[in-house]
Amino acid sequence: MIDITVNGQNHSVAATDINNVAIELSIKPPFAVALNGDFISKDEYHTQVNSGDSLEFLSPIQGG
Amino acid sequence: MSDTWSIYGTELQSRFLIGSALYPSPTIMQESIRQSGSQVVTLSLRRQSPQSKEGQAFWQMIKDLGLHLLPNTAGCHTIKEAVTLAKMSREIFGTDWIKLELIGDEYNLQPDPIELVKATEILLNEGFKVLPYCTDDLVICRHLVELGCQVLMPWGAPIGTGKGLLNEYALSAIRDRFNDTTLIIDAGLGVPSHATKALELGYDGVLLNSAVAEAQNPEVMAQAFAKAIEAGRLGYLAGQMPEKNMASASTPTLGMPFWHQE
Repeated sequence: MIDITVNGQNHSVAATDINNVAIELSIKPPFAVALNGDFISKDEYHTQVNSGDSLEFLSPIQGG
Repeated sequence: MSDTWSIYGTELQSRFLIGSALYPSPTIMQESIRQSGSQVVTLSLRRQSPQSKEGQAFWQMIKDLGLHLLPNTAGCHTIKEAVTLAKMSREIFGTDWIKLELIGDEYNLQPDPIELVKATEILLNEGFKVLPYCTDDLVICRHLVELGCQVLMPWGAPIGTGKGLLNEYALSAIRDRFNDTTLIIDAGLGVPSHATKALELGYDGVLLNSAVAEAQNPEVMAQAFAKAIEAGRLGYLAGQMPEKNMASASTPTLGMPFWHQE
């Protein structure tokens, strides 16, 4: 298990890449991802996640 | 009369860009946007709530409208935040348009002009079509145009204040100096006459949200703004009469009745 932050909350996960973090935490599409503040494109969701990393999964919302 | 305009080459008929936030309900949001006749709707990205399906429902409603999407970087305070959010938006919304908001002060949500210029340069180099939300500072606008912005979006007043065009002189100067740039008043409008004034000044369009969403009847206010924008545009095209300081009778004086002949 690794300790990571997802959308500002601490999680211990078995997953070791972004794709599996989303599955393990039941994060539903559509979403876009940032790892440690940097954009990660869809075709890079195999990127390894390490303990201490911070992930953001963002989805469409209302905006002005 | 055909009177189209464009955003980075995308031809539009409606000069009304509308936001999707703050409506009393999703249904009222959808109907208000329809009533506005807008072809462009703004939206954003935020953390997903695992318990809520509202985000997915919202996204479906927006897609059902079939409009051009203009994602924003609202709430960003640093260049890195704004650039990352822009890239995330481009992927999820499938557009390279970005309404670049980079807030410099929490009190009036004023854009940080210096950081805005830097972020604009980065995003233009990344292939984005940047619509920068800026102040009415002529020189900042000049920097943005020189970087390659084809669209500028100076504020009328701070976001959500409904105060209208606080500095018409500055806004007119921007219009006069940048004839070939698409100019959109973004933020601060409260009533339809504010939008009319913006179009009368020669602005190409207006972007607003709160004035419709927070009206007592958003659907009707959306219609009112649509008509006001059309009126302002027609007024601009028709050309204003010369303003004078002294009164000038409109009724002919020739053939005045007898009491003036005594």
